[in-house]
Amino acid sequence: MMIEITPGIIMTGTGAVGIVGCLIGLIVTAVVFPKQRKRLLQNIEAE
Amino acid sequence: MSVIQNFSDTYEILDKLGEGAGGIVYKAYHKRLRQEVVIKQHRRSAVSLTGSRREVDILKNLHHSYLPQVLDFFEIDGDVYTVMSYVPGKSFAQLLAEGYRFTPKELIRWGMQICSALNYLHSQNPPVIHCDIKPANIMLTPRGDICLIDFNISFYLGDTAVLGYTNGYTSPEQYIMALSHESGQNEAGDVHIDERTDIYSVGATLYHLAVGQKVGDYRERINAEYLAQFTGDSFAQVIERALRIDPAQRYQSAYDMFRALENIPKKDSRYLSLLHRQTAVRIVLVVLLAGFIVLGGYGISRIKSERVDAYNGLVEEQISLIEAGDYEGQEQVFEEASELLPSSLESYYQNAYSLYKQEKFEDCISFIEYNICQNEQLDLVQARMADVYYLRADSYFRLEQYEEAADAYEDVFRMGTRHTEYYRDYAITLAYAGDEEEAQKVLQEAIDYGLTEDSVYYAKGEIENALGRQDAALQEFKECISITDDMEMKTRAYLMMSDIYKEKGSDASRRDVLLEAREELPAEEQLQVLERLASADIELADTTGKKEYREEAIEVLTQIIDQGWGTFDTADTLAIQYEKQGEIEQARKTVDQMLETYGEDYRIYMRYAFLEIDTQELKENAQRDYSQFAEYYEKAEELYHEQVKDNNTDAQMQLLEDVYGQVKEGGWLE
Repeated sequence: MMIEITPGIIMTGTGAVGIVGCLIGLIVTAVVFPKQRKRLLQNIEAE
Repeated sequence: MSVIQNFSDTYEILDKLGEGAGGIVYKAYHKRLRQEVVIKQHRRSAVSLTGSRREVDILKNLHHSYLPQVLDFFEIDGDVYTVMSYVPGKSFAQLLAEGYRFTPKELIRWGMQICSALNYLHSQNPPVIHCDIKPANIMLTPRGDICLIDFNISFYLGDTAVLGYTNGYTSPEQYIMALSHESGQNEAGDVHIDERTDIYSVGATLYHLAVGQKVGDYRERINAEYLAQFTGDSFAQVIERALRIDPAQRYQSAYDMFRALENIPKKDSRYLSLLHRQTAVRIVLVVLLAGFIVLGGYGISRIKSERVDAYNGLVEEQISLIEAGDYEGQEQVFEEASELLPSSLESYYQNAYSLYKQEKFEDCISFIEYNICQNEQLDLVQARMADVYYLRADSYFRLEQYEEAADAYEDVFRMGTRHTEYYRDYAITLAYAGDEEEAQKVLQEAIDYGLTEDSVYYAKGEIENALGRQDAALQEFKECISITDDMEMKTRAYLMMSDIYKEKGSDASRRDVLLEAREELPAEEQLQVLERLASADIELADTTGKKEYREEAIEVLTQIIDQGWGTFDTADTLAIQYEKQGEIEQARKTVDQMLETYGEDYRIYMRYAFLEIDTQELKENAQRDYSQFAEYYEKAEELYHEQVKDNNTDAQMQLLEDVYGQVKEGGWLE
């Protein structure tokens, strides 16, 4: 069965993709950012 | 030599390390502990150890990585001696003298260690204030850590007279107190020594180690920009704050200064810049997340409303298809609609109405009772259910199951409807069910609720008819017809009158009322009227033998077919009328059209056969040829046995068989 692409489906789909993307982004930043800060602090301390 | 005599049993003096305002310092060997120790003979103190037992115990129990272990205290002839573990290494003063360049990294690390030791001392009860922090009193051990030595024990024990000062390291308040004691005048006022005094000294020490020169006049603030050239801005800010003249503006505790030193790298502009960028990214992600959640939520709500709109569109389509008579199309749309919104009743109602309009009353009842009432997905507690139940009740009525119809009407009114027409029809049903009293009561209720006058006349007509009072019924229907603008009601009234006349055997009156209906009613309401008129004409033609009735019947049947209402039976009846009228060729054309429209059906060939008989009987015997008749008969027989099941018999086929037998017996067939 063909599903008609309505504005509602587009909005919901975009919202879902956006939510997933943002959550992934937040998870990645939660992992990567502390490492970045730690690395920079080490570089600063080494100077 | 008196010192040696006193200590000889326990200690062996190895060397004199130094002598200053605070006293004399010796390096000794503890014979029992078998370790090197430092013994400090304090200047004659105004405080007795016996009066400061508690403080002495605290000092003896001090244990910290960056503090020397206090091993012993004793007092001899008024002199207080402290014994501490010997700390190997060089003091920061020595390193300065040797030209050592302290890096900011080292100073931050050692500064934190100093603050850690101070925090430990300050957290004692009462707090131990060092009072003499300076490079000379900070040892750098071989391990690379510091050791803070030589805190002013006498001052801790209460001898404020021993409070000295060292230029470049002593806090302003300590200067003031020390000078006040020296002058013998009590000019200190509210000034007092506390943890912040040591904080100042730490700041001054770090300044000297970083810049290479002592802090200048304690009354002046340091040049932080100059300091920053050696330490960087963040470290300079920490030292500058520790060196504030007003203790209230310094770090309020060694722990605070420790944290400030620890966070110096985090004050770096590059770190701050990274932190800001990361925070901005996080904020953007959170804001976007919130935005997408809102978008998604709105999208879901939009999908729901789109679904409802699509559903409503399908219901509109159902209604249009029913009006157009496309019931098959309506059923397909119903399937689609009910799948789209399974809990919505409206499409189910329309499908039930479609069955009702097709006069498939049993199917309508079955659909309502099983597909609607037993459907758990449907919300049955809504006003529309009254209309659904009405269809069921009226279907029972149309099937002449009046008891069941009366029971079914109870469900209609259980939904709380005030539909006056429903009350009207309920009254009629009760009358047909034989309950005149209840019927009149319900009719009165309908009138009280505002049933219109034309409906009242109609209902009375039905009730009178149900009770067998046909003349009274006819009168009521006439009244209804005369005042109503409702074409559907007018049609029903005319039809009722027609049926009553038929029952009475008044064919002429029946025909008259149907002719009047044909004139009065709009085309879309005329189907049943025309069907009844054709039927009346045929009966009149058969009974009176008058050709005009059959001609009129033919005209009416033709009109029915031309309007698109014709069925197989309509065409068959028309063919028969043509045949009876003697218009064989017209009859044959009608049957040809039936064959084209309805395909192979035994009744068509049966009709052909009868027409062929009529055709041959018009000829002289010698010219008759029944071979075509035989062909038609055989074809009809063949299809009859295929199409008619369950031992059903068609009287006309029986007749045809008899005719065939006669023709055969007559020798007309080889």
